[in-house]
Amino acid sequence: MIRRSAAISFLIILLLSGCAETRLQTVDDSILQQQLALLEDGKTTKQDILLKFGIPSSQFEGEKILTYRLRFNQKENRFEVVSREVDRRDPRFAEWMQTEYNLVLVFDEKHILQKHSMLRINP
Amino acid sequence: MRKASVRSCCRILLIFLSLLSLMACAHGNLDETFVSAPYVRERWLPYLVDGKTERNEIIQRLGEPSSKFQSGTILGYRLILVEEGRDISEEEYRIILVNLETAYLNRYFGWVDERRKLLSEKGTLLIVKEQNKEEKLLEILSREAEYSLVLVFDDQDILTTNSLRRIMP
Repeated sequence: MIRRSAAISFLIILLLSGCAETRLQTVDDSILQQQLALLEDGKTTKQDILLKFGIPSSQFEGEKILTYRLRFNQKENRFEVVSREVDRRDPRFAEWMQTEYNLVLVFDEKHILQKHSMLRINP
Repeated sequence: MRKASVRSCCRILLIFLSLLSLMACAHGNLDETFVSAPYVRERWLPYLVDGKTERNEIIQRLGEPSSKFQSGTILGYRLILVEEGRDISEEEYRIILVNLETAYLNRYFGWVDERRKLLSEKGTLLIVKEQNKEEKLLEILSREAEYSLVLVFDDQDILTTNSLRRIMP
């Protein structure tokens, strides 16, 4: 009898732990590297980056430093620029509140990428 | 007596089946046709031809860009797809938000698909700039889609390459 109830309890805990699994929308390092393969310090031009990602989320020191707020779209397996103005009540952005990344790009005076970094900013 | 109970069982089964079919209908996918970048390009920006279109023509048609890079050889336009020719009131914005909530939470996109179709016929691409961001905030928040248009020109001010990316789902 005790064995039976222990087995049932074990099964219930197993099922509950299955339900409690959370999916963090972070990106593996390998995927990250693959997605950012375009970015080569000393080689990639500002033009290439603007054509790939569009208008930057913000810029500093004129246009020497550009930043993009990105999120990873798992369905299409690519990074997307996050919209700047978002109403938190808008259900279209529910998923967008999850993990975001900030891509920081520094260019030289010839508009060639000098260095870059990708930071996870949320959660 | 038995006949009546069979009849009521049939009735319950019928109601159950109707509800089941209604639930099946209520789960649909969003129609992306009218908001896809290729459609928007063809509908509103057919004059953008690499190696041909002049900078002046683009500025005449679209207005001043949202941003400029590399001494103006690269122009950027932030474009939002909205209803044409009117400012959205707080009340209208609230209604849009309620409709969106209903659509996305119930996964029934009839209203959204209809809005997208209407926008494809009567909508417009509004350019968002630092100067109009405050004034057009409700239009920006209620936009059906947003795009980033980047245009690169040569030293003769002819368009050499361009990209239109959708940046909002």
